[in-house]
Amino acid sequence: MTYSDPQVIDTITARFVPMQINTQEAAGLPLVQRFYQVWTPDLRVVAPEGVDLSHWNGYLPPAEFLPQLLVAQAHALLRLHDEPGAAAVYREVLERFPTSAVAPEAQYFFAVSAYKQSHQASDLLDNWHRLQLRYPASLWRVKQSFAEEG
Amino acid sequence: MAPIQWTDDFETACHQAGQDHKLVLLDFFSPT
Repeated sequence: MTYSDPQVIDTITARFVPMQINTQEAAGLPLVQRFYQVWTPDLRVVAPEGVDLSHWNGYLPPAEFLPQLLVAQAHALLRLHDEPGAAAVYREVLERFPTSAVAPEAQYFFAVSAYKQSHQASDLLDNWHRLQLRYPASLWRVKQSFAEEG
Repeated sequence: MAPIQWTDDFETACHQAGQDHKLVLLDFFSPT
């Protein structure tokens, strides 16, 4: 169902080289072992050098799969030190999917990617502050709570 | 709309990703 959704097809096709491994077939065993794969669905965003840059487990319907996919892409870009690219994708998540389950994580790391570009503390703290306003009950708000005043 | 064109060849996928300035989306699945 998720992979037949037009937006999912568009996003995967435009941004990724899609690859599937059937974990029940012997031909998949080398990659299952290489990536320490234990449970399906298991999605990895992999660099051209063959390195796992971000990943998640579990079925998601299109409305949650798409923002999760974008956050995974942004995490990968951040690890590749493409901070502007990562920030743009995190922002896209916040604008297109502000109520999705991964939106607080996108807000947290949007702040990180902004700070890594500017090295201005205000870029980190101001964007983290938005977690308190928009996503006060999220785990990602807790993860920046040491920076909260008072 | 055409379905996603999945490959099962890791080396080819990585090479293609490098050429196209993309990332590989690797989906481990088990048929149900």
